[in-house]
Amino acid sequence: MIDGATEATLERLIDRIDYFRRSPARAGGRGSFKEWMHFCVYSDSLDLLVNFSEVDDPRRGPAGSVGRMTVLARTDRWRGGVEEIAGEALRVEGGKVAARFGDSSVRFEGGRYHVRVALADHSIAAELTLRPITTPAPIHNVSVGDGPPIHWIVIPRLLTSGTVTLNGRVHHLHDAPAYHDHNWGHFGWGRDFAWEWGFGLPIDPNHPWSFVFARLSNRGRTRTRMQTLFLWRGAHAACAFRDAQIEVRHHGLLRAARLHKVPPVMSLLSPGGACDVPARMEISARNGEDSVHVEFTPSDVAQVIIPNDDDLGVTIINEVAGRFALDAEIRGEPVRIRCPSIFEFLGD
Amino acid sequence: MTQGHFHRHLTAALDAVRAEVPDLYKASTAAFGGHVVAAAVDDEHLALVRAGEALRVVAEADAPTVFARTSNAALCEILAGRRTILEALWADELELRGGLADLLALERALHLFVQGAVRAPSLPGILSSYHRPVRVS
Repeated sequence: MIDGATEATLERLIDRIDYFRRSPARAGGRGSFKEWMHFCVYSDSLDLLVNFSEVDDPRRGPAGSVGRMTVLARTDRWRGGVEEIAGEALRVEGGKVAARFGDSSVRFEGGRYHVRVALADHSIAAELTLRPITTPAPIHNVSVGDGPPIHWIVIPRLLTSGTVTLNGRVHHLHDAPAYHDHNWGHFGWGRDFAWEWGFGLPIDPNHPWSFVFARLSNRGRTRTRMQTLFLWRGAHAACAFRDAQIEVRHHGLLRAARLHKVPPVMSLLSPGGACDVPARMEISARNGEDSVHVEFTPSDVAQVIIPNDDDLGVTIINEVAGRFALDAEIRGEPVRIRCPSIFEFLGD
Repeated sequence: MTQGHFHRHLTAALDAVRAEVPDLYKASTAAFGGHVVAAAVDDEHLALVRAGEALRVVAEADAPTVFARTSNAALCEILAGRRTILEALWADELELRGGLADLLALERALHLFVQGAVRAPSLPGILSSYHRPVRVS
């Protein structure tokens, strides 16, 4: 937990760096811009993933854009979908976190993210307030291969309160752990890149440690372009491991009992039950005396399936619920985290 | 004659892909070639034919090369990802009749059309309208 002064510092810092950039194409600049704000929340009774995305869409005019809101909720299995919002129903204010996607919205105000979700089919609704309790980490100029770099801001740990209504049942959240990130850049889906990332957040808000990992590679995942692992202690980043200090191993392939594919119509282009997600993943990192060992054991997959921008393939973003276990020693202090988590694996 | 639910939505989808994703529409039309598909969807009877550079939905056509029979409910299950085309065939919810080469050519045309449809801005609205009045048990 954090004190009032730290909370005020976090608010100023987030105000300064976490805001919608918006596409330069709106002022005659470069197109193919994509930007999204991503939130993951988990609690005893459900996991929730909400992604507010705005992407350039030349089919809607030279400076046209479309909003895509992905909302996935999981109790015994994943549910939810992707909604497209365009025209007057989509309002994104550059320079701040303030956006309306139809009846859903996100804003940062008074040191809190306020997220409202109202899917048009009424299957999922949420009214949430997310309070950051860790400093954000900006990671700029991440190479995605043959295009310009992308940018990433991560706030690994927030506390969420509010309600999520799933098929008519109301789930009340009080200080549930959450993760937030914000990505933007110019790139096309289907280019020569893949990524995997995940977080580990203790359920007990008094547990001081938070974990985030990300790796970018070529599409075939034979060449790692960047990998990084962060640990926060309390509000502040405690240590970072990078590139050669980190070893990632995938074991086996997950045989998911079912795949929840969204938008559902994309099942026609990506049928079947195979998914490129390991049955178990190990991440080991060492830097001098500091060491981290993580095991992530996937259990349930939702696939966000996106048509590629430049060919007839698809890009599949696997949102993977599972169990997270971390054992580490940082500056002589033993660290242990056991919690549910959501990892993401992007590929074909 | 009043167009039925399936006829109206298929026509709207074809028009949308033609206007919004013309390259894939042309590729799909080329793959469709000179085939004539006669279809029965619930109690609607119609045919899909090529007229010049366009695909047209018409009330009937002579000498179909492929015949399809299904229901709006079965199509909604497929479009909603709850059934694959193969599962619908096995469950006798979809019947396709024709020579193997004709069926394969139409599978290619359908694939290219779906590629266009998922990229067409108007399609989510058309799909949503198609799903609305269909009851699925």
